[in-house]
Amino acid sequence: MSHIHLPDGILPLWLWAAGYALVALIISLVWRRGRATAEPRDFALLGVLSAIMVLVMMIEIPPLSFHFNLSVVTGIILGPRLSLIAALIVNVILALIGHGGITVVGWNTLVLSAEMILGYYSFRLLTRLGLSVSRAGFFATVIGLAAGTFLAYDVITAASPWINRVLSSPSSRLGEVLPTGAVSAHLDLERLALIMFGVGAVGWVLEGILSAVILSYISRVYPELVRSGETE
Amino acid sequence: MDLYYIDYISVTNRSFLHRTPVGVKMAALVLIIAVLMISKSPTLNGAVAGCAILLALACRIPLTILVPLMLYPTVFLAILFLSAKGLTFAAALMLASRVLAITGSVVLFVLSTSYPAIFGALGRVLPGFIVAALFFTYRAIFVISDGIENVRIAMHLRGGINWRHPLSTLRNFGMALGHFLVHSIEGSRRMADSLKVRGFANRVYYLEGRR
Repeated sequence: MSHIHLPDGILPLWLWAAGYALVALIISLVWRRGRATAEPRDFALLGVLSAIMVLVMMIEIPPLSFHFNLSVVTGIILGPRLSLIAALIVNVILALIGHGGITVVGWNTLVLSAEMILGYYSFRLLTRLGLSVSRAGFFATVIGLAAGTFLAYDVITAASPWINRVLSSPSSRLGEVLPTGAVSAHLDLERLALIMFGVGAVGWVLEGILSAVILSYISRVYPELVRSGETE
Repeated sequence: MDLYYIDYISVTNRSFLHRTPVGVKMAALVLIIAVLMISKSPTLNGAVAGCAILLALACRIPLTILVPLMLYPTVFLAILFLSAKGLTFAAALMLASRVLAITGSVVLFVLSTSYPAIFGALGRVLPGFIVAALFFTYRAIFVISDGIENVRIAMHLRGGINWRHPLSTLRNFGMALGHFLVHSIEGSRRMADSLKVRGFANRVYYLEGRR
């Protein structure tokens, strides 16, 4: 899923502020308030892989505005600690060019890093269980993306009472009296689930196949990148 | 969307908006977003979006760049509208105008402020290693974007996206991306070696006023 598909101006202040606060807290804990350091090699790798994610996300496949993320492949190469920073960087750069909202960067970072980190651990587990790199890559990607979609859906579900207020706000502001039996505007969570998980599932499989091919290629050319996983 | 071109416009233009200090523009942007977040008036929202377009014209920022970037979030908005029941035209108009106004303001800010200047300003509030990562990513985008263009050309030469053979298409795309990844990672190692020589220590310093 990679982003919560909501633009700016929809989520209530407390929720998007909570997203930022949560990201700040997690990064602060993982990076020991900035006292933790990383090798120049890790920084350079982080920069290059974040840039690749940004560029790949900008290649859209017509007519659905569908794009690949490479989130799980990147997560597998970078490891959990750097993945968190990569997710934040990618979302900040994309939000600055209108791809995702500025206010949603916090939650989008959590969704993207959940995909990357869960994909990383699933890949390690599946390869330890004896699956080939390409099969483990496929299933790790599907697991990671499905988890990201669930998290994104949960955030929207939690925010739905406030989103409903936004959706029906012009009528209430004008004091419009609804006819008997009429229902004020609201988010249909079942329909949203159908869109997110229905269309999303196709995306998970497509990205899973792509990740499997990429990881299989990398494991032949640069085996240490996918064997050790953690670069830290 | 070509990031090269966005960067080129923000760095080379010399309009009054480009010359305005980044801190002032950032504060104005925060204020505009705060007002738009609580605004329920499509007229006010539309006026802000219109102002963004007029300012872009005055600053010689091509609308062919600004407008598509402004319109991108409407894809997300369409998903929201498809999932809504009982949505009135007034509510849809209010939300659409709010989204366009906020995105227009953000995109205008980016098109009139270079990325290094933005990251430099963020460096006052964000930890050094995050700002360093932002600078590295920004630099890497330009170093490797030719490579992604080569992937696109390689895909085109192999028949592009063929909906009749999706698996072969994905395989070709995956192999090209895999090669590109390996090539980029090798480049990152060379970059890391030069960083080490220059004494990099988890921080990149931006010299204000020098673009």
